[in-house]
Amino acid sequence: MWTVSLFLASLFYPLIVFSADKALCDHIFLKEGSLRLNENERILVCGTSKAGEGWRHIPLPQSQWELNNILQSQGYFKPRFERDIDRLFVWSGPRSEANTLQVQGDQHFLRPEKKRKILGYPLTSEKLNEVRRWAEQDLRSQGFACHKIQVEAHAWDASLHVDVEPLPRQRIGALSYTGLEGLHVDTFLRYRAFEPGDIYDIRETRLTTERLLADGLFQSAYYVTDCQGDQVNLELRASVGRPRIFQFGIGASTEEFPFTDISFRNARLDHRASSFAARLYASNIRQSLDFRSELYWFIGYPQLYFGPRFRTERQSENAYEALLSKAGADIGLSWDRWNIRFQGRFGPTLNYANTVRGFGPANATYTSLEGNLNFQNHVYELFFRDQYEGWSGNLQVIGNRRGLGSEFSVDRYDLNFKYLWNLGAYSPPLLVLGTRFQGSMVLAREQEAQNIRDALPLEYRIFYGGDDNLRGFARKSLNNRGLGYLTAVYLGFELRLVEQLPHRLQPLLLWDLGRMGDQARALDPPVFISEGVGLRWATIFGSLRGSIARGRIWSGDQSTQDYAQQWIYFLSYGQEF
Amino acid sequence: MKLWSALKKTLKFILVSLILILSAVLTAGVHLWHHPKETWQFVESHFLPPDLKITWKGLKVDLQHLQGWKWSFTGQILHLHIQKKSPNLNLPVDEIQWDLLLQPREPQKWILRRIVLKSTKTLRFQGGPPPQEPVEQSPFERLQGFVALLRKSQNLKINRFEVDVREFIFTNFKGRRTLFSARLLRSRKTPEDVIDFVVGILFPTTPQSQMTTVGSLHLSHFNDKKPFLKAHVDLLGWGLRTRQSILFQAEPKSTLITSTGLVSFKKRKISIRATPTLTLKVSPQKADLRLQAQLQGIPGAILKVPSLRAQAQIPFSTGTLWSERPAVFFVSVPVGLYFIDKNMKAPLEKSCACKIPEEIQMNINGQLWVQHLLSRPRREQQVLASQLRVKSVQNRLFSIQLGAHLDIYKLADEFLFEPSIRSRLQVHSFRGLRNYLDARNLLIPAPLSALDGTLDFKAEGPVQSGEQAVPQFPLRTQVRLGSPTQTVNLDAESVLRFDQSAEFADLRVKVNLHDLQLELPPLNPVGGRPRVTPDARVLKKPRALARSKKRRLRMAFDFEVRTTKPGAIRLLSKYAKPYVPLSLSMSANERKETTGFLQTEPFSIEYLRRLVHVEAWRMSLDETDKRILPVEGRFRIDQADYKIYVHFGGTLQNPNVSLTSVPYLPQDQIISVLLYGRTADQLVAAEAEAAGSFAAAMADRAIGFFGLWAFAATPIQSFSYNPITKVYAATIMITDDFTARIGTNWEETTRVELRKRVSRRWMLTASWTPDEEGDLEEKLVLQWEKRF
Repeated sequence: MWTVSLFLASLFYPLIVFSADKALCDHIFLKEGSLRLNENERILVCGTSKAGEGWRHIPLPQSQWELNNILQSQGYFKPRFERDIDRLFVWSGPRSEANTLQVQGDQHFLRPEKKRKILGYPLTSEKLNEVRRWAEQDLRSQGFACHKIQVEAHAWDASLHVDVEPLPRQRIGALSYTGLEGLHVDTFLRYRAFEPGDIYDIRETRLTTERLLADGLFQSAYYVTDCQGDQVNLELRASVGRPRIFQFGIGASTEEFPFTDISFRNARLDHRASSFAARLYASNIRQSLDFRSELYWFIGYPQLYFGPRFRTERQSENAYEALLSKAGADIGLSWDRWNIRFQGRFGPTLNYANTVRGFGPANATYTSLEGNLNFQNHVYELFFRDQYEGWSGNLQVIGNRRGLGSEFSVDRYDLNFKYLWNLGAYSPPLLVLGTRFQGSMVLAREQEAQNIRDALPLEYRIFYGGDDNLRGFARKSLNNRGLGYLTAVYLGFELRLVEQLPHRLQPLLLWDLGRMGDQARALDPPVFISEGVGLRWATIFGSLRGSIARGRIWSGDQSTQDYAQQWIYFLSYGQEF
Repeated sequence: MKLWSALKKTLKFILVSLILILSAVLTAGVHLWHHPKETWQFVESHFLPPDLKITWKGLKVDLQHLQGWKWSFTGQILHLHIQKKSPNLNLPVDEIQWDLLLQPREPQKWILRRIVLKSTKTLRFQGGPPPQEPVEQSPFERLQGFVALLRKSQNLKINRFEVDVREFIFTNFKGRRTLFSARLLRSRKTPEDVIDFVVGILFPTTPQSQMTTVGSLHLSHFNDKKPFLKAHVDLLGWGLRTRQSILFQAEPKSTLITSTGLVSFKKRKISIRATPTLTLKVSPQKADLRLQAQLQGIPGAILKVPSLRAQAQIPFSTGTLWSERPAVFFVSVPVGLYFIDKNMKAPLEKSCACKIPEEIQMNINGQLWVQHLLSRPRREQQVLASQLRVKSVQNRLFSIQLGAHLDIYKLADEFLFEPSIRSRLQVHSFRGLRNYLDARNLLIPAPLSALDGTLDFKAEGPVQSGEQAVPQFPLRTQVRLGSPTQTVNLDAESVLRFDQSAEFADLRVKVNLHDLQLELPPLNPVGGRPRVTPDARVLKKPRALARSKKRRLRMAFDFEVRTTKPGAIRLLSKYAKPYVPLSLSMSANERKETTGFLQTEPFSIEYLRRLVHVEAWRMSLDETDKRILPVEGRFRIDQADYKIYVHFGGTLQNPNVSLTSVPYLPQDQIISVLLYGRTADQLVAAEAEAAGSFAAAMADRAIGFFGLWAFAATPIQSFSYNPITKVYAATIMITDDFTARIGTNWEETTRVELRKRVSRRWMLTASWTPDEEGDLEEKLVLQWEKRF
């Protein structure tokens, strides 16, 4: 019996001994630490039976040397190896963590004290790459187009060093273009985010090409820099594609599922890149046909365009169902100033509205003037997906005039403004505080607006609730018994924790406050508040957001009795604060 | 009678003359006695050389009658000062005392009963040139003369003496100064008749070297078998520190000298300790020298010499200093193989199936022509003929034969060295060597580790004396290794130079690569970047410390490698058709300055669905020391109906890439064809965008060789480039249902629209579009697109 036990023990001995170790290969065991070899590393460290004779077996000293380098690239600078004939045992040793980040030659343009996720993190090659990218990005954004950067790590004191070649700060010099294929260079003025003589900022050249590509004017566009002392000359290399694009798509959006989207666009009607677009859209909520054009006819004013448009659509929401058509023509303008992008358009519109269900005019035709001004700073525009910092705003005016197809004169004013603060100005941000303000007001000229509410088209009614504003209330549930409000003010806050949780998960706290008014220029006493928590997940296909918020009403009265104060759950795709 | 008369006159004359002479002598003596100073001045001015000046401050002489015919002549001179200009002599003596016993009737019994000489000041003497015709005596005769002189001191009738010279500076005719101090003392005469002496010599070296000899001369032992001279010699200087006990013993027809003691030598990093026992028997015909020594610290990078045994016979010829016949010597040195430690021995013995000895015997024998060595021969004369042999070792793993010759010739003062070497190391089994090294955890890396064959290292021929008398010798290497798919066939000619301290070796190698076929690792281009090379950006030690790292043996390589035919290097890879043929010509000097090139011969790379023809690729190796590797080359890719040429320039780390095509296409169109096989006007938006990003990344030099090849050789699904951070990311199609990503940071892309191609025209698109109110509208759309 004793002999049998010994025999069994000897059989299981290797299993017992090696079971606690991680086998990197059949004959190499990791006794301490963690290490994951990629496919090619496995070939070089372990050998492979799929290879020829030369790489079938790797000598253990070679495996040891390679593992040593792999471990060092992961921040293990004192690995230990022990060899037992044909087996190799590996102890990773302690992992070094960066404790200082020092910068030289940067002329104080870099702020290492604001660089996050480096100090206290393992001193790996990836971290060196990250530091390099951070330095590259910050310097290329502050006037250094052709500097050289050397990044080093000192293993003995776990310090990181960035050495920047001391070059003068550069301004943008000459601009040149290739690949325009007949397009007038003035065309670029409406896309350009910078001016000659500005301090070079790669973000602005990037923004310019992003705008060009987003507009479909070019298939590809990028800037090539040519450094000449304190100047950097920029050459835009563009590739003009065929002007007509026909697209057919089926898909889903945050609000509609499914939908079909068929579009046609001619991005180059003339040498100033006037465009025409047609779009047919159909979903369960909305069906629309849209024609619009931007015609750059004004010689000497390349950013100014004439924009005829026509749109007809059917909307079927919970509160209403309506057929709407608009035909109009705008004067539009796009320009950049003070690192802000302005886009505005203004013009008359002939409207047709037929409210099938809910409050609103039935079979009405009227004229209106519509104006819209969007403004956002470049940082917000460029890093739009990340929602880390910057601000954007929108001012919209729409108005009817009695006698011009309308029975009354009414105007609606909307102002939206959003500001994202990167608290502490860390890179990457730690906490992002988002604030937004919305103000809306409907004014009638000859009489009080509330007296003609039943006849007001949908666009003159204000509905609140939902992910757009008061998140503790259901979507458009604050609707004044379906009539909509005539005045509303909203203030929202969101504090988001960034780049702390794995998989780009960002938890957030939210707090919203709003007041509405049943009358124009007046806010009713009830105060609507939302408070809750949420989670944002930044995937490569956009952000998924979920929030749990409870709506509360302070100073409630008769008008708020129908509103439920409860927990509201939102799950949205692509919607941002 | 006449005769008597004449004799009488003569006798009178003689008598008168004697009386006159005696009177003159007496008068002179009386004058001298009473006027010694005046007398000396007279003698000095009339009889002594004019540049000789002798002065003293006190002179006392006394002649005292003792008894019968015995007188005692005593005297004392105080502050005697003797000066002479040529040869330069300056002898200030504090005191000289003497006591001489005079016995006129028995002159042989005159005894110097006491003599004292004291000098506390520096005595100086400058010697003149040596005599043109030196007295030719053999060393034996000289030694015998010295011994005879010592023997004669038996007859020296000095009962007591005391000589104390604190400092005596001897300057030879070349101006080199040597400082002596000496003290000789015999306090009383004993039956053994011993004279004790202390002699110190301070040699004019930097730093100063000194020798102190304390000994005793036993005058009574000249005629028996006991040593007549015993001395302890302490020498400190020239890096040496020794205390030798030396005995001189007189034999009937020879003199025996023995010396024992510890000798240590320390200079720079060399520290040698030896305990030699030397016996030298000098007879009229020859000198027999025997030396045995235990040694520690003989410098050597890989060898250790624990002891040595030497014998030499030096022939003598009477009447000449050194015989024309050569001295014969033999040195036996056991060389410890200390680098073969216990961990090394077992695997080595296992590999060679042999027993590795602790040490191997090295013998040196030869002839030395001392006469030629010490003279200035007018025609070239051989000084030394010697040879070194190490006991050969032969076994299944290797065989070693080590031998060397050294002949030295002399012409006037110039020595001409003619060393030569005849050594050979053959490794019969490279696999056995690999197994041994592997057991020692030393690396023969893959794929070389799969090879077997022979290595032959041969050092045969004259060892030339290069610059600064540094020895150098030729080394020829022949490597014949092979396996079913790999071959290494090369010859190397090397010259190995050691510096005199054996701390630095310079190896100049010229390698002719005849045939080198090796397998490349079967890496997957999309299997992830292997991190097996050290990240040069991570410093493990401060640069200054890293540079000052001490090494036992520093090696400098000066090499030249070239292929003997184009494409002699063949690297086998499943992607290269038929293989990667390389030609190499490279040379590097000890300052790591390089020249040469590495180039490929035409071959093709086939990966996935693309075939890339590498028409030319050449990398200059002229500035590798500065890590600048200029490259130039041209790839050809036959895509659709176009031949696309990828031209390389710039450096390996930062290549310039330009594209041309036949028939002609603009650059952006070429990229479209290269990536997607279609011209730009046939691309859907996402593809066009990817092509544009690719062009931007190329212009920014963000894509290296690997990326370019990967993108040229694989169907690209998407490509995104962020010029702000110079980061690109790409998805390439490996198979119809498998894609892989190259590059990093998809997430960092700032585009507000991302697309994933589902088929040639169908695309999955995620877009974020601000609506007119500034709100975001996000869509996920499966989209079909056509541009026209």
